Amino acid sequence: MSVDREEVRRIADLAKLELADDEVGRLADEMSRILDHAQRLQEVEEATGAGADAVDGDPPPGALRWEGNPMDPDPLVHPLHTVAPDLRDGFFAVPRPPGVVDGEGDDPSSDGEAADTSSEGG
Amino acid sequence: MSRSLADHVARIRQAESGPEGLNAFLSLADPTVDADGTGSLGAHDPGTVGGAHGTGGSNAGDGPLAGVPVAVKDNLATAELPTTCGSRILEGYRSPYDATVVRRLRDAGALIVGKTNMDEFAMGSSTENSAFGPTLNPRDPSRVPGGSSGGSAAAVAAGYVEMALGSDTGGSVRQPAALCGVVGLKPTYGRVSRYGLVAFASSLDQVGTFGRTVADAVRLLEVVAGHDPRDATSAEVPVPRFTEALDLGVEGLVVGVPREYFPDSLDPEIRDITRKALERLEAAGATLRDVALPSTELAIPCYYVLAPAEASSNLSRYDGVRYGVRQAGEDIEDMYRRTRADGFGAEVKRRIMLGTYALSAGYYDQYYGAAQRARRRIRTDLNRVFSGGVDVLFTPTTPGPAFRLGERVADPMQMYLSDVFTVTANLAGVPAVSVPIGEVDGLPVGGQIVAPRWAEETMIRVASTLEKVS
Repeated sequence: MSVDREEVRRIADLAKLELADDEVGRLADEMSRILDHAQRLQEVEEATGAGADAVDGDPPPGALRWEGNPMDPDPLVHPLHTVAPDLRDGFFAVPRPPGVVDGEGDDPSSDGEAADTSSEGG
Repeated sequence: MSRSLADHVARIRQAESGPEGLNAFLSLADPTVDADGTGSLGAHDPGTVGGAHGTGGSNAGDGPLAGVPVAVKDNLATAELPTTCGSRILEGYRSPYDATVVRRLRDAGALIVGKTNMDEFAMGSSTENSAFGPTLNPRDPSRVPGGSSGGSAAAVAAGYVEMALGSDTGGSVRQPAALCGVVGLKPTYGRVSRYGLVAFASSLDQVGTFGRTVADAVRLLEVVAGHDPRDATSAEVPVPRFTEALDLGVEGLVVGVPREYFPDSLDPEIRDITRKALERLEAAGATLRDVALPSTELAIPCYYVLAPAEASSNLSRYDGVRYGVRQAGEDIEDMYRRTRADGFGAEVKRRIMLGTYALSAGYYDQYYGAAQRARRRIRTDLNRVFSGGVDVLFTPTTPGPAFRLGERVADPMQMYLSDVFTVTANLAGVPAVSVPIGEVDGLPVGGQIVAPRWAEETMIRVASTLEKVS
């Protein structure tokens, strides 16, 4: 299965990964070879029938039986502000989403890292 | 004379700081440091963190592991030591809670000496994918210890600790155990709580145990096993006294020998060592039976679609929002991309990409659907063999002994094939253990015993016997 650079960029976009140019080329090659190996799954299905003789084993006793949640959450050993990159007034502060402009329910005083969005007026 | 936690840590620090240091630990406990003490992580300078309560149980003198030095793989959450998963994206991260297995270790009186090195997010078979440098094999420091639980295996093999916890998703306890010459045990899926085990592939991950002997690995399993309401995949199955199986022998047991695990291409020395181990089991009273597992050829392609698919979902949480490293971005999407690009290593990115591809529109059924159907065939195959009167299977754990550092990093597919004998047990959710059975050119080789679900006792009978007759 051949994966080209355009496909790698599309998948990287889905995965929220920024890739350097050399990474794109390398991943195209590596993914192609690994997916070639995975083709064996379809070859066997085509040759023998997809799961025709497959029977599920019994689930483990007690597994996945939902009886509500008897546990209260554990108290945190360390307070949240010691692990969060940017905690403000109980909120995880993040840069604004792309395309969101000033005044759209956004408190400018909490905008720490986002670049200044261009004014859409005029 | 029993040693204190401080004694163990000092001994390890001295050994790891010297020219023969293995880089087995990413952090070491220090009960003399106050509650706000912190340390720095480095490839050859394990950080020091700790608290006023140290990392031994409050009733340290009473429990079944009282005073026993134990190491914990760095993908198990510990409130008093960092949890990095061998990744830059979690560098310095302090979990706000303990994993259930860590809590059980403390309650048993174990001395948790530190967190061990690992392939990043448990993705790898050599510990070379750690962001903090590879661990070296104690038997030959020019070679890998295996992975992903290489630090834990090395720590036990080097005598730093008596036991260690690891995690096994495709062989990451059994394979390093084999390459380091120790015992590595993966229980039935659902036997040990995954609460606090950082998820890689949630339907495959299990906490596993390392020991210098079968008895040590089993003692540790006894302590950490058992239902946990915090883990929805933890089964409500009683935990037997596994240690009672250590002296039951193999008289009357049928040991299956799957022909697909002994291909013509198998290293002749591995074949010879494994055959001799089988002969010893037969002499001890077991019956050998040739069996067929035709779905074996599907195991690696199945695993390397399913595991990356699950990983791509599990690792989407590392986005710089709530914890971990954050890189600045022009907007939130940019922040996500830069954080993940900077924080993840090459192997993690590769698997996220593979998994995302396999789950994407147009490819879902062709890859992920086909892999799930293949997984069902693999489980059916195993069930058929076990239902036909076979008590356990016996196979080589790895196709060869420990390879040299750097030997397989250029070709990921070659690295993936290291798992060819181990992934089936994870796909089927059955227990398996690796036991040292010999050496090739002075390097240890492991034999793997695979049992039906919940049949750890049978597996332990065979493992213990093999250890005694080796």
